[in-house]
Amino acid sequence: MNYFEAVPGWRLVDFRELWAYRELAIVLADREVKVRYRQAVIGVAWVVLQPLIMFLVFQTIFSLLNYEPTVPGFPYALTFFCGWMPWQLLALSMRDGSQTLVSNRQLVTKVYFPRMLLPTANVLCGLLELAIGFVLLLGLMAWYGFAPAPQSPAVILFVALTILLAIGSAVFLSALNGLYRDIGYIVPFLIQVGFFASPVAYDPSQHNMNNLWWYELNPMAGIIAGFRWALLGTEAPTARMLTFAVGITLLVLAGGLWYFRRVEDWIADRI
Amino acid sequence: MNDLAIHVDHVSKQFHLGTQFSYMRFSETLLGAGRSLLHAPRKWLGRDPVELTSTRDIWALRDVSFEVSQGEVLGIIGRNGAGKSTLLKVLSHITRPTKGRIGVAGRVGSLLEVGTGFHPELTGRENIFLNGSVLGMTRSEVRRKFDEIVAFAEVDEFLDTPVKRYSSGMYVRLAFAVAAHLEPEILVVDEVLAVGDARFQQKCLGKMGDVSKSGRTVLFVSHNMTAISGLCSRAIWLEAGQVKTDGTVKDTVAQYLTAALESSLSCQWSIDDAPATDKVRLDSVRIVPEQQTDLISTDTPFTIETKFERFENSGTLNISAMLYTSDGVCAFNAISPSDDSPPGRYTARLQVPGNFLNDGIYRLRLALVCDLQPQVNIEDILMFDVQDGPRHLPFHGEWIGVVRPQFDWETHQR
Repeated sequence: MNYFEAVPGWRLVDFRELWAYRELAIVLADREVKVRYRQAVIGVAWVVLQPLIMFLVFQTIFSLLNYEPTVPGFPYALTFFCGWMPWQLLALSMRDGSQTLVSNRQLVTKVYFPRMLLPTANVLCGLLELAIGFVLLLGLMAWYGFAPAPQSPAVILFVALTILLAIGSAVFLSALNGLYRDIGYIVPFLIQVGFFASPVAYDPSQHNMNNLWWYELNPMAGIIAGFRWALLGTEAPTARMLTFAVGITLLVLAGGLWYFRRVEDWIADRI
Repeated sequence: MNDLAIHVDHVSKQFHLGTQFSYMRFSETLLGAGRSLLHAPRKWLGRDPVELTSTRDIWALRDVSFEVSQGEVLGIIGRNGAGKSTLLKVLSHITRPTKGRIGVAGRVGSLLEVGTGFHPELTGRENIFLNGSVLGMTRSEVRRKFDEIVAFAEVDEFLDTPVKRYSSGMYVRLAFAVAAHLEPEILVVDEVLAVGDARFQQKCLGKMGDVSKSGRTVLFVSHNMTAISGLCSRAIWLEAGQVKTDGTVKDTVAQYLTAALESSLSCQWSIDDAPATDKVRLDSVRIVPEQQTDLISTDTPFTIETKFERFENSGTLNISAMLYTSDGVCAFNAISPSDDSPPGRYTARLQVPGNFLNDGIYRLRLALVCDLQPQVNIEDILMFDVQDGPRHLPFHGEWIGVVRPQFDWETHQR
């Protein structure tokens, strides 16, 4: 007999249970994909259009301002896309992931399953977009006549780092949003700030931004630099950048999981 | 211990209600924390014991203990708010008990209210798989049961239609079919029979019987005493979060009905306890027989008197009074005319004529509806017995029918 009892405080994540429910994670992610694109008229094309439009906007603004945002020697489109892909995974996970507990209130208050699957499945769904992004980037590189750098397999490490960061943020924000509804208003703002605080549309290695330790506290600084290094062969991220990226990511992940586990048992009463 | 399916061991569950701020906002929590910091020194000094948060703790379950053997069909009855739903939620691991522990042998398939875990945008087929995996089954297990589910639910034509286009009947049928066919070791069913037609209700009851015959355990919550009596061998009566009676279904139902009748003809709350939303608050409901006695017989006209307060933005208000027989058949739903009155306290009276209801037990469900959105909706808010009145004929047998109206007959010689 399996006992379910009043236990205090925090517990470790039950990975065995998560594994037992792996099919549900896939079904939930599958559902998320279907719901996200089923009623959107342009559907998946949106995944391609969005960065293209953003790219054109920044291209125009920067050229009007006479500012050179790109990594020297590389077309701006490539610099931009390398930044966009990991950023978009994180931003979508924060935006949609933070809503998962609330928007699935029907499920959460009516059936049991490891709740962590909801925000996690959302991140899995974002991976599809990342995969499409990769195809797009390869196409662009071919167009500009760039071959992927020899160290390109290393990009997997940075993808993994982005996924961990995305899971950590989505898990944390979803629990917080379950308890405090105004988090839903804060998140879009946070994403907007994050977009400019991360080197998505520009290259920080030039100008005055080189070597600002507090700028590198944003884990996306290291991750995006890693993406550009692995795929395009730009300058490698410094050891400090990488340490910050890995350290902060693990901190966010651990904090998110810890908080989620703390509230998971009674969130159904409050949501 | 081996043949135990469920072991509820001194389980209590506490809810915090009515925090200082009506909406849970992060900013408000920060504000609250800031204020308590400001006030803390004064509190520590023992002066000015300001109650900063008027949190009330409600024990939805108090020290509930019982055991259920495998293959047993247990009915759970009790008034609304007695803790039945909370018990099922703790049992389904949806929420953790505050004290005690609850042991369950095997998978629990729960059907708490209609359409558990359905996603409106997805088709019936996709929802079956989604629900299956929520119950912890693999896709191949679901696939094996798929045809049976579809056949039982009678939705084969609509399998590839998003469930948001389903009628409520189809919705329940599919929800029940999925929960019952996915072979959980323990099936928990909460009041599904309130929806759906009579034929399907019979089918559901039959299916639940089958489930128990195959050695699995069924927990069944219902207001329908006939269904409870027919299906369950044992029943538990919950009252105010405690087990009042635990015994054979016959004894428990009899005790429950007797007590329910004694529980008088009125129900009122203090302002703090009253069921309310930000639009309306229900203050009291009572049934006033015309003859000023507590006895209502078939020829007694009576009034259902509702006192409530309208707040700002209550919009267009309707009151809906629904009478159910003890079998759960709705005798009528009397809806008050739409009303746009300003905020304030009101009393609404609904006249029910004499020579209209049949004899037997009736249960009143009352809903306050603002702009077509139900705000307060309470089942079994009152329960009363209509005695057999004067019959004007020498027949003394059971008078059938939900109502016993006295219509005019005219007979002429041709």
